[in-house]
Amino acid sequence: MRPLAPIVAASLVFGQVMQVPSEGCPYFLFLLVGTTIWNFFDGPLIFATRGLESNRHLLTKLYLPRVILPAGQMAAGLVEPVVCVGVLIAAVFYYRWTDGVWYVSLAPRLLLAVPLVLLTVMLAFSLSLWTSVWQARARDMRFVLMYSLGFWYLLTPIVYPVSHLPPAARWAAYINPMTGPVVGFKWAVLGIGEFPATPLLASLAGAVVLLALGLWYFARVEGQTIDRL
Amino acid sequence: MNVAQPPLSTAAEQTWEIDPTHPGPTASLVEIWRHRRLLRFIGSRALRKIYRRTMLGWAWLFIIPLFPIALRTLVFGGLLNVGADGVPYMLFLTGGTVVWDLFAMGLTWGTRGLEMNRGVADQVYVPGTVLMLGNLAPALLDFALKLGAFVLMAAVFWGVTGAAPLRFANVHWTIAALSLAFLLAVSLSFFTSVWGEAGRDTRFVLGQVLAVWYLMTPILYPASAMPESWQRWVAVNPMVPVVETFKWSLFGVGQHDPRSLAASAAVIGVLLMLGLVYFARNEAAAHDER
Repeated sequence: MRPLAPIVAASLVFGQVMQVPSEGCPYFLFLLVGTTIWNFFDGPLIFATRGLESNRHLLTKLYLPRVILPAGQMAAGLVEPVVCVGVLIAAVFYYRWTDGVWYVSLAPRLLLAVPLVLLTVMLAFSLSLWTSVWQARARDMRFVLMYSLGFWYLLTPIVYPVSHLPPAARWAAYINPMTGPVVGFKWAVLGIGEFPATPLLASLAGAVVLLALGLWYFARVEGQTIDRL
Repeated sequence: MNVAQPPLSTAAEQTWEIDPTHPGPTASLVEIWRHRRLLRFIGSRALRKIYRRTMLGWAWLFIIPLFPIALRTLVFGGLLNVGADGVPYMLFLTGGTVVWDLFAMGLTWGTRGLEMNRGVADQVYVPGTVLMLGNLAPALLDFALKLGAFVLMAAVFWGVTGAAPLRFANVHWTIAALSLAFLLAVSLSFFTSVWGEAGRDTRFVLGQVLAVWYLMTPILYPASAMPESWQRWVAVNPMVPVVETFKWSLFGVGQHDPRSLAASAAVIGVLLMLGLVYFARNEAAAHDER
């Protein structure tokens, strides 16, 4: 229920009032699929960011490998996207019943959704290596993060298809490491759009680099951060 | 020359009458008026409290409102081509945001009124209504800043295009709309602040409800873009006439229907009375129970 109400409201507004195109499938499904993969990014990121701060009492008393904390906290952020997947499955059956069409077909490309989700979670984890440290130092990191995620959501082609972007602005979408997973996920699940090979490779490379940098950064500053907690 | 002195009171004459508070709306209003000096204290407390232990501090006040508006203008006005009845989209959105945020921020801060001032309420007697109303100060500050930004933006548009985007002939309707938005926030806060005292999750639920409510109110888009089939549901939302009247009074576009605004005002008035009664009956119990 909780993740569903905003999606229903957003799909009414974007689909019916603003008439955003959705490349042939019902707008609700289009938005739901995009939101699901997005939730695999923002849920874990938000929870992991608080990993150090909310375990303050544990950290100041005993030693444990600190990377575990954001990683463990991330699990809590996976609840919402998993619920979204459940809603998605229900919605697919609902549309089979009303429209008589299976919008999601059991094609081999559906299997690709799994590595895409893993890539998304990996992106979230590598970013949280930075944000959790900042969050431990300044509480307003959380607000900065919420705001940035709000922007990021709008800048990623979730509520609108990539094809809707003017060709001159597409490069801007492809700088965004979440564009690849979102567009790819829509392609894998709904079979719309094109398989975004180049953006996905770029996302993957970006995720690997971010993860390496994040681990390096985290290891370098965790000690002093804990002291100031 | 003898000046008549008031008789010195003796201990026997000095009696205290302790009555239970009357849970009526008038009694509550009288009590608020009597404690009005405390409003400023509670208000400045709320203002100072929000930005404590944050790095950017007061800079937040200026950063927060403008970025979302700029980005939404880019996505909705530019990319998705949402109409604005001929008004520049950015100005259209900012106007809607000014009146919506007066309501939404007011409700958010009002909801936290009792919970944030527990420390005060545990030690001295301050009417809960005053705690809640004083806590609205950050929302009012936020409103003043956004209104300033809005007027500045209109001036820039005026300078650039040469055509005045705002007209002030109907400014009394603007004030009516703003007052109604504020009163709706106050009247709902009488309920939500009591719930917020009981459990923290009230705040999170409220955030969700407001996000949905925001989408269902014509702020990102003009009311004229709503499909016909929605009209019946739109009537349920008291914020629709408020936002529409605000935009009509300043931009001269959209629907102006004094009857639906009056209906909104009636709903808000009833909510306010019910809220005062509900608050008076349940506030003390919520404070003791937690």
